[in-house]
Amino acid sequence: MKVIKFDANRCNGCYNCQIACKDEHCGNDWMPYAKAQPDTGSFWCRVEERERGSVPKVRVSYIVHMCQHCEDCVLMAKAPEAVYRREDGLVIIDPAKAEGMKDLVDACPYGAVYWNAELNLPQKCTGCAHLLDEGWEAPRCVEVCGPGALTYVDQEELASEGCEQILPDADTKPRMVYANLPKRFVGGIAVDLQADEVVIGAKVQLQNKKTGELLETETDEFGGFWFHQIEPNEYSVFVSKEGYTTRVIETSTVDKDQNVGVIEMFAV
Amino acid sequence: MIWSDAPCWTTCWNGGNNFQDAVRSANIEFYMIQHIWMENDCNFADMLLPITTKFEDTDIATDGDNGAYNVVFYEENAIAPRGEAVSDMHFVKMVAKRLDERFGNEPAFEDIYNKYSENDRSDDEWLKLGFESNIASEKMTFEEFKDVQSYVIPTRENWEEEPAGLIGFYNAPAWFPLSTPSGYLEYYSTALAQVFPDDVERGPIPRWVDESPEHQDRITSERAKEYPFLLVSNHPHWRIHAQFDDVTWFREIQTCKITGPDGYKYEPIWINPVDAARMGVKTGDVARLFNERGSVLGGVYVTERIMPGVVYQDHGARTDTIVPGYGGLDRGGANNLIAPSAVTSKNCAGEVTSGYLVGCEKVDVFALAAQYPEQFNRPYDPDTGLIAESRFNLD
Repeated sequence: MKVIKFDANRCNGCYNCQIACKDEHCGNDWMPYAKAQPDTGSFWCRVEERERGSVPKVRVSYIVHMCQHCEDCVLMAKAPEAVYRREDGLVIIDPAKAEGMKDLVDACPYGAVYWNAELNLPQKCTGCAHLLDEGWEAPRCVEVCGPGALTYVDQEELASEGCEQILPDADTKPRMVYANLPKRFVGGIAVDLQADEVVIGAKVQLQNKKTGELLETETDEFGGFWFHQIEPNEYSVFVSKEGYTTRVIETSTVDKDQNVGVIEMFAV
Repeated sequence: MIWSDAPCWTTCWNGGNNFQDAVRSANIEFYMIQHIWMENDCNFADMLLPITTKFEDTDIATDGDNGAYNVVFYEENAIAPRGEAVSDMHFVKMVAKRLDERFGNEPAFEDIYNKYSENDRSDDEWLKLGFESNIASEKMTFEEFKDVQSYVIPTRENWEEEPAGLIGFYNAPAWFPLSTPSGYLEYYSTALAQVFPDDVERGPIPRWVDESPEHQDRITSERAKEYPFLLVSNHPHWRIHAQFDDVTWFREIQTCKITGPDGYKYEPIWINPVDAARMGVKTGDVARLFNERGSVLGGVYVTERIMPGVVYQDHGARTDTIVPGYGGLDRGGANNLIAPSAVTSKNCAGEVTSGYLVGCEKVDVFALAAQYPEQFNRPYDPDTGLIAESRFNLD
């Protein structure tokens, strides 16, 4: 069975997928799978721009959201007469039977369902079922993805590692696979204010306060350092260089990415 | 009289506000525009003629920019012309015909229609004439070309034996000099040094110029006291410069348009949280960017993606003129209107449309609407923007 895989390392936020989905469905009736999507307000495929950190340690991660075509689909449980699964695993809201079922919108924990007020219908991604029936190899969103962030892969061929869920704690058995979703980073800059210089080549150690694990790097030409893709946790940051007092900064990435800011180094 | 086709002076380049003043001058008796879309400069015309798009015209085109093979195309129209729209050439023919009828006895306009239209040559005949001047006509007739619809111009015979680029200059510069005065590559321009020795902005060698008579847009400038932000303004993410400001699927993306408290979709202004806190603004508020050249509005987008002391707003938005001219106010966020008026130097054209000083402050858009009720209540569709029925009603 084929599933959509999203690799966050490859997504550059071009929005081709979001726009292609609209191109396919806005103003187009694809019965029996879907009636036309309204021109605006529905995002059956949606790009999230997740801003992280603070100046000058800033990153934007782009994450694509859509129906997960869950094996334990909440909508199917709630309205089995109006929501069904195809043999290829795609979950379809039957437009002929789902009229008026507004509660399906809030029922989906992934926020994948949108209300079409004009047609009085809940609507969502169909996995481009109508195109697959015609022999297309993949849905529109996958077809238009230039960087190859969205791919259409055999579920059986996926390695078990590196496969993540967009909602890690959900128990709906989502069939969409994510890889390299952003975790947390810690970044900062070491400076010698007395000398009015950044400190290059300082040793920076990041200690996970729960596990004791130590990561190490060096400050760059701008005196800066990054630790990427670390777990949300409490950390200590040690900055040391010969000729300077070692500095220790406490930080937590439990809630968000951290720019620990300017760390002043004092010459001995 | 000014007669213009597809004009975009107001939002495309600097000086748009001066242009708005100029075309409203009493010295210009009449301003006629022929254009496809009801936008920007069209709002300043006395007469406006609707012109067809490429989709409505049958034409011949070439592609010599792709860096590979040159191609010539036959482009059949995809749809019939909408309403009364005609092609640019057809409209000019209509004017020529009227001139002929009414003033054909005067020497200047004698037989002008036949002269312009080359004795009423048809569109198809014009295309055939163009085709016959193209190398493709050596391989096929025009009728055959219309059938295949494109021709890829092949490489020249023995092109591999032709000298590549500047290889002559590379091998023997004395025998194959460049077209500079010295015949060599000039990092120091001998021509500029000779012809414009006193040009402090555009000298013979490019160098950093902090401030000059023509330009004072540094944060260390005196002007920065009143206009303390540097504006970063790019060729826009969601338009092709001044085109496609009306695409509904883009305008619902937050980095394309920010919906203000009045339901209007504003051109985003990116502001760092440090500055936003001091200014008392949050995402979704309306702010203005301003300097002595005027003001433009925008929708606040508080973000770490721009540093403190700098604000960001792309250029090329469609103008929605509240107060026209120098020192005026534009709701669309067409910040080229407030870009520096001066070009590179007195001797050199070149515009600054990014990296100049602006002030930035929150505005009460409802108070502005009360002050300019007619201008703030034009026919408008948030999904797409100003519509064809919108009028600026300038006096």
